[in-house]
Amino acid sequence: MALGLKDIGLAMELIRGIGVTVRHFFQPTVTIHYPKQRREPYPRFRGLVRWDKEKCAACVLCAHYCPVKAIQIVTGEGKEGQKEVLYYQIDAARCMYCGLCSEICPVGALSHSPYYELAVYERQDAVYAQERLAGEPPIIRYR
Amino acid sequence: MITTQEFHVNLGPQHPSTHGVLKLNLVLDGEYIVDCEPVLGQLHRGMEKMAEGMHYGQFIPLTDRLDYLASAANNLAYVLAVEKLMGVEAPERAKYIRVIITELQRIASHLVAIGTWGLDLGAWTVMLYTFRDREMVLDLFEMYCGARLTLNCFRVGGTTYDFPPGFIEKLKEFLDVFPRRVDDYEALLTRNPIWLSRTKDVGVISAEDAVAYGLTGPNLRASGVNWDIRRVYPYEIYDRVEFDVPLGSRGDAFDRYMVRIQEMRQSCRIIKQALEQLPPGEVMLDLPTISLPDKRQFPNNFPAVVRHFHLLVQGYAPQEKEIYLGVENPKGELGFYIVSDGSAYPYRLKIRAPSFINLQILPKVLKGALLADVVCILASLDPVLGEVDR
Amino acid sequence: MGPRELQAELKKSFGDLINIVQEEPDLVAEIPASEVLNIAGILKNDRRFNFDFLVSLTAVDRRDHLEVVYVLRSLKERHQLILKVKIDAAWPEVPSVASVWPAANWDEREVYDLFGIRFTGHPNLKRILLPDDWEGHPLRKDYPVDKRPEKVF
Ligand code: SF4
Ligand code: SF4
Repeated sequence: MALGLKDIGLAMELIRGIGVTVRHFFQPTVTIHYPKQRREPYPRFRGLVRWDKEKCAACVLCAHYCPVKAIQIVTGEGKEGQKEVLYYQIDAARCMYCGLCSEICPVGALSHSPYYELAVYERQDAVYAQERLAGEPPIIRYR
Repeated sequence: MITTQEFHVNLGPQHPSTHGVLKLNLVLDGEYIVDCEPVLGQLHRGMEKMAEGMHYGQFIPLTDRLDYLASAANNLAYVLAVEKLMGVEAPERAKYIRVIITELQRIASHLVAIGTWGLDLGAWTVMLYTFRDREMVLDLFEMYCGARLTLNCFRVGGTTYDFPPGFIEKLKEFLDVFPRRVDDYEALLTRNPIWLSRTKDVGVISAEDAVAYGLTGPNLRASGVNWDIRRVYPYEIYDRVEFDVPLGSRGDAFDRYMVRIQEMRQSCRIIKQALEQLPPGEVMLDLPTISLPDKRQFPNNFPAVVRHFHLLVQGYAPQEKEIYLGVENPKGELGFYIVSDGSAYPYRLKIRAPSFINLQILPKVLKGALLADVVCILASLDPVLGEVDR
Repeated sequence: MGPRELQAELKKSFGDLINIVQEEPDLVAEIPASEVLNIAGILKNDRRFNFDFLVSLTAVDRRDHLEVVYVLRSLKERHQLILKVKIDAAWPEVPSVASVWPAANWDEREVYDLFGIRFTGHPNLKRILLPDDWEGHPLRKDYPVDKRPEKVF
């Protein structure tokens, strides 16, 4: 079976494709070695929601507006008769990181943190309440 | 004596080439398909019912979950529909930002379409390259609004954010390299003999069928019907930018591939022009009835606080009306039919999902096709199951 | 054709059968259920209307009655029309338009699934999104949002 002109044309196309692949061998790598290297998120990154007890005015707007009702608040009366948050929890497994709560909170008590490795072993651990709502979450890291 | 019988094959729902939880009940006669019945609904979340219990603003993050590969485009469709209902219009700068972000989203969506399609047919390399370049787009999204997949970045009456510093430079960098990257995909696929023999004259849809079955988007244009909502009913700023509407001629899988490739180039063109024209100004309408007041005035400006709470607790109520608005999404025409009864909640919200309607033609196209081509035809229609099942 | 001319043309062709219920921002017209197939055929095939593209078919539960809504479009003339049909909630039945616009097939199945409206003459009327043995029609207003099925799938 002799090779026709057409076969040579087809082979050329395949070689052209392989050329693209070969060219990519000599380009800088774009991947990172994840558990060893971590990528810094951008400043606006919408990670785990954090809550600042000091700032919160106990207006319950966030719990009311959250589309998936991931926030639960119990309010009561403080020592001087002011409204106060007794219990505050965010279910990170329900939360969809939409950013609506931090957008609407009138005093800026809610914010998105840059934490994104939120896998936990127990479902209960994904519910962040009270003190666990500030600072760095206990992240189970790959070792 | 040899007896023959029809053979039933279930493709999916857990099959990588169905691009989601789609199940196809195939009836085979040897290698040929006699009948096909798609079984949908495994991802049905009742979005339309959920919408009836939500404020207009609260539903925006849920539209992300329709076509999750093009969330910004879904946001835009919904937001424009509500704006039409309310009779308001976003400020100029917001319009440009919205178009730039949605066109980036179109590029990202087509990259997934072509990458996974290549993967389905054994062209593994293309997938790696398209996903690498999609990553650049997702980085831009992360920079712009903080999310990579479910953006939730547009609001009724504007957008949440303006471009952050450094965004436009990074976008320009992307626009510079991207056309060359498209050349690379074309070098790998467009004239590759294996790709050609797998896609040419496979899954042919005639123009009449495409219109009769309600196909939209690249699938319709690949059959040669010149219909692009961005052109026909220009919304936002599409009447101010120049772009071509790529058309196919035969309506086979290859044409659908070519249309997508060329649409990515056109999207680049649109973004470049939009960047040149980008005006300064506000990105959110300052209208007491729909937009939140500036938080920096709190708590001294008491009326602003009251307005803030009123808007979020009571919501805003459009007049008693019903509207339909469709926009050109990467997958086709995403439309919202909203009936308002004058309260702050939509009385009825119907989502016209392009993938749902595009899939409808599948049994007809598959009839008589080879079993090995099912994967190719399905990938060429590019359904996203989040949108099919809603 | 612009909405004005379309409205005038509709009135001229169908007279009292058609009732314009909203002009702005979208043209909405109402027709009786018995005339659906007839009017759909004319709207599709008549040169003046040329509604060759069914954009969407859906329904609305108005509590005392149901409405089936057709969003029609002409790719050639570039006009659009929302057509509505009022039907009785106690006996929800309307002729299927799948023979006029094949695109209506799955949409009608969806409406049957979620509203319980039967489309007579439909080629394959069965549930599409929910399982076949699902009870009730979720998009009806009397179906509670928080109702969970007894059987867990
Ligand atoms: S909206 Fe802000 S201030 Fe109000 S309860 Fe929530 S966190 Fe506290
Ligand atoms: S980010 Fe969205 S889903 Fe999560 S708690 Fe805030 S409002 Fe709710």
